[in-house]
Amino acid sequence: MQWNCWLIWDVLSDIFFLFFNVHKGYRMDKPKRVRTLERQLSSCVAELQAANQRIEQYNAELSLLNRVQQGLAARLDMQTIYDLVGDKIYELFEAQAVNIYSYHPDANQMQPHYVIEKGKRFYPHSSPISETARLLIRTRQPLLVNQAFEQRMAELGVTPSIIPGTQFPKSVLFVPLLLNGEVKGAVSLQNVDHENAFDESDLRLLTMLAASMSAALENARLYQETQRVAKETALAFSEISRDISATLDLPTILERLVIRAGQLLDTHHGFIYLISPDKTALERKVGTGVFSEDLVLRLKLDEGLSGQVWQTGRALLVDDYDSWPGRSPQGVNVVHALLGAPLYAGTEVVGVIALATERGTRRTFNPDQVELLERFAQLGGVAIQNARLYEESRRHADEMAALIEIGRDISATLDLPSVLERIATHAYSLMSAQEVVLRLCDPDGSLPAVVAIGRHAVEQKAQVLKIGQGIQGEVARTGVAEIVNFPSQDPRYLPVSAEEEDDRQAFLLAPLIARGEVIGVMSLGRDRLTRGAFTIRDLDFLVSLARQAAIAIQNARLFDEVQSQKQYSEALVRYSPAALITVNVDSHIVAWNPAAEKLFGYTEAEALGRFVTDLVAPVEKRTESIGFTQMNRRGEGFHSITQRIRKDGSLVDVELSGVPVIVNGKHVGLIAIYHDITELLRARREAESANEAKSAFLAMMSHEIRTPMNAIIGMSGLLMDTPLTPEQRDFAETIRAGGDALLTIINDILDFSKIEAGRMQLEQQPFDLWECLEASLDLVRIRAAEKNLELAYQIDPAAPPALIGDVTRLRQILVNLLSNAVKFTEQGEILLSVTSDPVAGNQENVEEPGRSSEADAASFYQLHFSVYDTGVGIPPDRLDQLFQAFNQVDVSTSRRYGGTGLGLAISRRLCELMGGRMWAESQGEPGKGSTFHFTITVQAAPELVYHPYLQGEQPPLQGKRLLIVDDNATNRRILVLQAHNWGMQARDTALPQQALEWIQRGDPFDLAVLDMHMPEMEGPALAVEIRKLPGARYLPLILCSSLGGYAPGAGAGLFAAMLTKPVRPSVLFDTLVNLLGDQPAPTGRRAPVAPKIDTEMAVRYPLHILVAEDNAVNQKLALRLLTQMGYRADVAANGLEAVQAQERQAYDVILMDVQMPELDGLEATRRICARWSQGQRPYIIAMTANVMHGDRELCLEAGMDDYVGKPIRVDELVAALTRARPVEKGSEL
Amino acid sequence: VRQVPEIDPSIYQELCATMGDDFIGKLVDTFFEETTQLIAALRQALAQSDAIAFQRAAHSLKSSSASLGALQFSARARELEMIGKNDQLDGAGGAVEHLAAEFDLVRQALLALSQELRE
Repeated sequence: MQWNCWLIWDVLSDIFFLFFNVHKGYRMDKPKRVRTLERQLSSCVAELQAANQRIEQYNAELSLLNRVQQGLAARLDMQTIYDLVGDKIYELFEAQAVNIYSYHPDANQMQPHYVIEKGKRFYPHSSPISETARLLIRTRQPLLVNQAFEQRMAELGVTPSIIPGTQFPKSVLFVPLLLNGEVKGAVSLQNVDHENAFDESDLRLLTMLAASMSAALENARLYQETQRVAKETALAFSEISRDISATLDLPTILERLVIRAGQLLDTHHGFIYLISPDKTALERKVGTGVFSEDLVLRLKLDEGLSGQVWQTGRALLVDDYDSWPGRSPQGVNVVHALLGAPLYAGTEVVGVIALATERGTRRTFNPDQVELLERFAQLGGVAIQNARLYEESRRHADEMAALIEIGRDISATLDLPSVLERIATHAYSLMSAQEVVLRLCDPDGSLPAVVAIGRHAVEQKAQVLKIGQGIQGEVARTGVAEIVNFPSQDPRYLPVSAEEEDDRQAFLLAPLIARGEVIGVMSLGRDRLTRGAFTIRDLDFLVSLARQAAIAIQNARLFDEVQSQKQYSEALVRYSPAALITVNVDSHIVAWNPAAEKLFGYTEAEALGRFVTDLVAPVEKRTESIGFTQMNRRGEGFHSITQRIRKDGSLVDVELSGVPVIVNGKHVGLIAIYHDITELLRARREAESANEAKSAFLAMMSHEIRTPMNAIIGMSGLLMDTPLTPEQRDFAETIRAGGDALLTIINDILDFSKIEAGRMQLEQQPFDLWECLEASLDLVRIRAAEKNLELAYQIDPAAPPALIGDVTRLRQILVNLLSNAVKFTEQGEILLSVTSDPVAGNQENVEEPGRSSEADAASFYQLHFSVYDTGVGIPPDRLDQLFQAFNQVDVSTSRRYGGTGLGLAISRRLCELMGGRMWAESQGEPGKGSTFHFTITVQAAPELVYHPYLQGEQPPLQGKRLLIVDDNATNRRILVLQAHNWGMQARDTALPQQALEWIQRGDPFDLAVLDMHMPEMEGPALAVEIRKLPGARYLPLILCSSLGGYAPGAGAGLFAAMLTKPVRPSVLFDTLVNLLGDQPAPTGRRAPVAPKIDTEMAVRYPLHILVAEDNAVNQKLALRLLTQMGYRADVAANGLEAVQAQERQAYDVILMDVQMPELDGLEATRRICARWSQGQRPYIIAMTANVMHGDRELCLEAGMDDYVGKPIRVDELVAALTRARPVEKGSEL
Repeated sequence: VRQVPEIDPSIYQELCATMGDDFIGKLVDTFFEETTQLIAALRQALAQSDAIAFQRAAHSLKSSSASLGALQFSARARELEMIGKNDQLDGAGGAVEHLAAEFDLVRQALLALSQELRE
């Protein structure tokens, strides 16, 4: 812009004025100066105006372009671009028509994209390229015709075409769409009404718009092209994926891979190599095009292009394959370019896919295609992998199915030859074998072919091998399966025929192994060339097959063996002349042989399932039989000469042996063998009649001897009461002692004779077990005390106190054992203990309608007595002889200790008669002593005597603290156990000093029991020491001594009571109760008179009482008792209700059952103790029938105050209520 | 009074003497009713392998029967209680039925005793 600035500044004021006026078109008179100025200014203003117009136009153009470009930038769809630009052009230029065409000279077509005329869009078809278009293509320049269109076009050599019925436009503007200097189309403006409708600025603007549009169109085209290619590739890939995943058959997949890859890369020559299973070569799997006839089936791993690709794991393109130095010598000469890509399965290259162009085309592959094939190959690798996995699992499944099928088939029979035949047949057909041989190991080391099928069957059977001989022998020796694909190279190979030596054979061998032992070998053979060598897979399969076969063979063999054993046993049982009865552990009959049927008269059907005692034991042998069933239960055998009863009620003499039956280590029952010994006995009786007569004579003689013996003993005793000289006294004592000894011997002989003569009759009378034991102990007490031996006993609290049996004979056994123990023990102790087991023989014997037998059996007990001493012991090898008549450990024994040696023999026979047995244990070491055991089976009787000391916790003794000082551990243990049983707390020590320390440091005790003789300090001396301690001045002391009478010396007078060892529980109980209890507890028979209930109790002890008890009977009983005492008690049916009741009303006493539903008594007590403080809460009295250890402690721990046993006894309840105090109501909330 | 092995006569007599015969008649009825229920509870506990319920029912049986002098029955109930306590219900079916059979005896014995008392 060329104008003078200074002018503007100079006449600044005028300018605006003038400018304004000029602008307004005012005319007025002007001075000259002004006119000059005006002239100058007008040119300036004109220039200014023009400049302004241009600036505005540029701005408009720029903003338009901007908008168009902004619009275009986001558009990638070509038609959108055309529409956008077309609409803008139509809006911007005063054109009546706007056309946008693209030109396609190759196709001689021009395609309309945007056609608008006078505001209306048209959508014409494409048409042949017009001359105008050709002109534009040629010149590549815009064409502006503002006048004489036809003429002007003619000048340019163009005959414009026109739609008939229309006229040529007056003004036309063509602008070519250029891309890379090429005309791709054109945009044109037309005006049919005016000439000069378009000017240069229109031309410029349209050109710029066209350029923008071209660029946008090109972008869009490129984008769409990319999209299309990507889409096509993706389509191809997805199609291929679908295609190749539609099948899992490997050959099909490979073929499709090659074909698809060829389609992608536009060639149909391709192939795939896969690595061979042994990874030593690449194997041709598929070939198409020129490779379909190509027979290069194997490549070395580094051979040719495929080898290189496999080695490097990367794609490789060779442009001129023929002249490529790396080409395989086997390769074809028909390709130009060869492109290979690795097939990956995971990270491993499993093969190579390759595509080729024909030699004639000289065509190669571009980098995109290389990449494409690489990607494709990845897809292929995965597909191959999948197919292989599938094939693997299918093969596995097939093999499993085959194995199962075979297993089923060969297990279907247990006949050994059939089993072998089937195994061979299966192996033959499944493994494509031509021969199968099964050889089994013989104990003599030979390996005969037991089955041979297929070729060489005859020769194989004829070939005798030893284990270790030939390949089969070797496998049988080593137990290792083998593949022998080239037998001629194997030194062990022993061909069975000349034909076999042609080296086409392949063998597969597997050992037959059962329970870790090789029992044979299975060998398969086939022609390697026609049927293939054997592979590892074949081997695996055959090994599995052989495993099954071995089991089947083993089963068949075992079955054979079992069958013959079974037949043998069955025959044995069936034809046995002895009656054989098999019973289960509960002694119910499970088998009954013909001889048993003959012996007892019951058929098998009648006998099966019956309880054996019920069926065949006569009443008088019932105890013995029950004893046997007990032994059966424990898996012990037995033997007896006894009697049994037949169906017709007649008795039969039998010899009975019980043999436990153990199956698989488990005791399942017993076989009872009954020999009918009626004849035998008769013969024996006859033979023994002399002996019996002798015994009878002896018995009679014994009696005859005893009468004068009594006279001797009695008279010598009387004699000693008369005044005698010492010498006479000595004589008299000797006579007396000799008489005693003689009488003992005679008694023994008498007993023994009776037993031997079968005349020993056992009483069946009720007796008291405790009394029996204590009486037995009494008899040896004096002698034990003389030798300073500790004598102790303990009885299982579960043992029934009252029994039915022969108490005299039981005591005889006990005295015999105890006096032996005393006799053979010089120092230490003797312990008698008794345990008890209820006989649970036939509880389930529901078939027996007579209930009485059940009740009988249920109340039978087996008592186990043992007498332990610390004496000289017995050598183990002599233990068995002990019980033989007239036997002692050695001859010198009888000289030293006296006795007939009959005692143990008699005792053993007696306990056998009582349904038990006797045995001894000893280590044969002096000081370690011996233990004699015996058992008897007895029936419990209703209790004869009330034994409070057997009834568990004892209220007068509960919680009392007992100190026991005794150096003998056994005595301490018994005292502690007994004290615990009664609910006392006992502490024991062997050391007097320890006891003194306890007392001194203030440990509280209510009572102390001191042993008389202790090495450190004797009992009386300890008593003196205890009395010196301040806390123990009034501690009651009991002295425990082996000898009766008070001990002499200092301290003797300090004892409140004296106990004689062994301490009888009844005596101990009475003593303790006397010293600790408020009143003496009854120990004798229960008082038959009912306790008198104090009906004024409630008046004297008014109490609010709650009874918490769920059991209706006990609830009623407790209420009744309380009512009779004058109380009105409330009731709670469980612990929860008890707590709730206490919340409603404060009780003075709660009688609390321990075991209740919802909330038990213990927990209810805890809750009450947590809620109400001492003094405000009720006095809680536990009611429980539990006599188990620790229950009382549990009650006290839970916070209960007192304790009554169940059934509730009046005196106990009264005592407990007397101890309770009413809760002070005043201090309540 | 006749010797009835199922019932300890001294306990029963003492009970009658202290509580009154009429009361004992009612108590025995209660005992029958409750025992029937408890035996059913034992069977159910057995069927459901519920050792705790089993033990509780057996405990209750043990204590109520002892109150009436049915010592043998009570001892048997105590065995069942131990079975429950030791969680050894397997195979206890026989023992429960045994107890039920025992209950029949006890029932007969109690009925006989009350009959005698009435006469």
